[in-house]
Amino acid sequence: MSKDDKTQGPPTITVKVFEPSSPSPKEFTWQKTMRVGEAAREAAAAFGLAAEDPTFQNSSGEILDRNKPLVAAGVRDGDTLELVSAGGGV
Amino acid sequence: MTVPKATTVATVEEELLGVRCYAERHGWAVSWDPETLRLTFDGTHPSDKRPLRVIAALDGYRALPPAWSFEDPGTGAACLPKPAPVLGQSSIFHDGCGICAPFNRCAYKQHAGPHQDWGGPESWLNVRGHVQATTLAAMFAVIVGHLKASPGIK
Repeated sequence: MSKDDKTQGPPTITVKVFEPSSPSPKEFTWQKTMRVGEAAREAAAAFGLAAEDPTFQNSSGEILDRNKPLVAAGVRDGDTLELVSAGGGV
Repeated sequence: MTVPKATTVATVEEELLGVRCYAERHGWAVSWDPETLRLTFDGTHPSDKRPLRVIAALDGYRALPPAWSFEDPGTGAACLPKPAPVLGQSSIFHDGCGICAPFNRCAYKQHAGPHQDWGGPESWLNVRGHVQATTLAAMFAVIVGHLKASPGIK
C-alpha cells in the first residue's frame, strides 16, 4: 500500500443526515466522489421529501455546492449533515 | 385568512421538537411564546459574533408563512444581516423585507414586500423555482446557511 493509499482511506464515507424538521437522523454510506446534489436527492427521497434542489449543510452551517463531489465539498466520514434547499434569495 | 390561535399553537408545537433539535445542533437557543405566537432564536452572527435574535411571528401559520425579522437582543432594535451570495446565488437578506423568500410573509406585496408574482402569501407552499422551506426548522436552517455567508450585521 502506498502512502497515498493510507491517507486516502476507503472510497466511501458514512454520514448522519438530519432533515431539520425531524429529530431523528438517517445514516448513509456513499462514494466519496458522489455529487452532493445526487446524495442529497437520495437522502430527500429517504425522508419522503420531494425537494426541488436539495443539498446539505455542514455542522458549521455552510451550505454545500450541489455540483461538487462529496469529498471536494469537505464531507468526511462520520460527519453530520442537514438536508436543506439550495436556492438563493430573490 | 384567519386561522384560530389554538390551531396555530398546535401546528407550531407539532414542529417544535425538530426546531429545538436543529437549533441546539447549531448553537441557537429557542423560545416559544404561545400567547404572542412568537418563536425566537437567540445566538450570534457567525462572522462578527454580535448577538442576534431571529424572530418568527406566527399568526396565521400555516395558512400564511411566518413574518421573519431580526433584532439586536440587547436593545430590541431591528437589524439585518449583510447580504452575501451563497454559492453564486443571491442572499435571502434584503433591505426591503428582511428575508426575500417565499417562506417570509414580509416578502409579499400584500405585506409591503416586493413580490406580487408569487400568487400571494396564501400560496407560499406552491411557489416553485426559489429557495424552498416549508417547515419552521427548514426555514431556520436556510437562514443559518445564509448567515454563514453573511459578513456581519448592518
